Amino acid sequence: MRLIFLDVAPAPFYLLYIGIGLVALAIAAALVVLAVLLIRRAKRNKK
Amino acid sequence: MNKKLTLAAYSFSHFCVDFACFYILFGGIADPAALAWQFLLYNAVAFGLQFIFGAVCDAFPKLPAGFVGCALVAAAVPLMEFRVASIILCGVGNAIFHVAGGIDSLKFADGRISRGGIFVSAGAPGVALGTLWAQSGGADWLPLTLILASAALTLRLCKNHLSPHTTLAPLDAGTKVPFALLVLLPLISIFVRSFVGSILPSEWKTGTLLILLAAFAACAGKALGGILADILGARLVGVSALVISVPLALLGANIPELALLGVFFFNFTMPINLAVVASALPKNEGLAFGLSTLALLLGVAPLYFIRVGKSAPYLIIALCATALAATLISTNNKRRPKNAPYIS
Repeated sequence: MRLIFLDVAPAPFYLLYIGIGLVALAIAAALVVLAVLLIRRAKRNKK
Repeated sequence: MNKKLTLAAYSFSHFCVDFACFYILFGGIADPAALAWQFLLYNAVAFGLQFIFGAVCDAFPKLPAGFVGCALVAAAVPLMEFRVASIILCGVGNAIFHVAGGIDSLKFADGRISRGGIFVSAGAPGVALGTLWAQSGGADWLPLTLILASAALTLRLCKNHLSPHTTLAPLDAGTKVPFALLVLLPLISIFVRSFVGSILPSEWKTGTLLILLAAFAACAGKALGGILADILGARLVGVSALVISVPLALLGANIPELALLGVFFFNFTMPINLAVVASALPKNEGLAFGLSTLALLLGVAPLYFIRVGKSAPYLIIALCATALAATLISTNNKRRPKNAPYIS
């Protein structure tokens, strides 16, 4: 496996490209946390 | 309310919504680099937000979500020159529509997996034909006509709330594992199949006919997977389909006939995993449907950032074994023949 943005990012912009990846990761993590909260709420309502 | 009519209306509209969205996505764009991030943006909005819209629709079942979704996609078609706005608008519309159709397909399933399979199956041909229509320079009258027809159909026919007198059997596709596992395992299976589906060898997809055949194989696989799961038992069908599909997909790298069969069987498990999530979350059909699309997004998103090398066949086999184990543990094998009581 290789990180695509290390192939396509021009040298001075490595950090920017890595930043985009980190932002995407953060958004994904936030969505997962929100999903867990909604699942817990649904479970509470079932009871 | 006629359940078969609403399923037909939502399935047809699903085709139209995906057709219009992919027409917008691929229409009039020449730069492949721009297309890559715009595609990621579309996927993130259309797939990542469904569980939130789903939870809202579960809380307010009288919302005309199907119509709102179609209307937003229709509004995005004339705005195609404003790429980002148009993509976000059609992504949100797509997400809201999918949630409405997903709720209908799970809430009125009357215990059967096939209804969800038939609804989700209609998207693949819409994606393929919408892309081809855009790439061949087709005009916007066709997506607009289709999406406006869908808006009218969903407004007229589709109500997602149950009348107090309706009694329907709940979906019951899960095993007796703890609640967290019952939700997590099918989502892991969906995540894995999404990732694997994106890294499967695709050298055989040369030309329009094969791309169309692949879309129709995926469509037939999802629909037939649900139907067979009702007849033969979800666990048997889900596990067998995964076992059959992996060698076919790997051996069919350059043999379209094998690869198409692989795509066909690979999609059998989709409605089964969806039904297990919905079984774990009764009365939260929108959330259940949205969680499955979030797993799809999380499965495909890493491929925008990492490139899988020559270890792919081993990775594919290992991941499919994980999906297989997840399906095996989380899915029961009750049969649901038409007009007959369930058989354990």
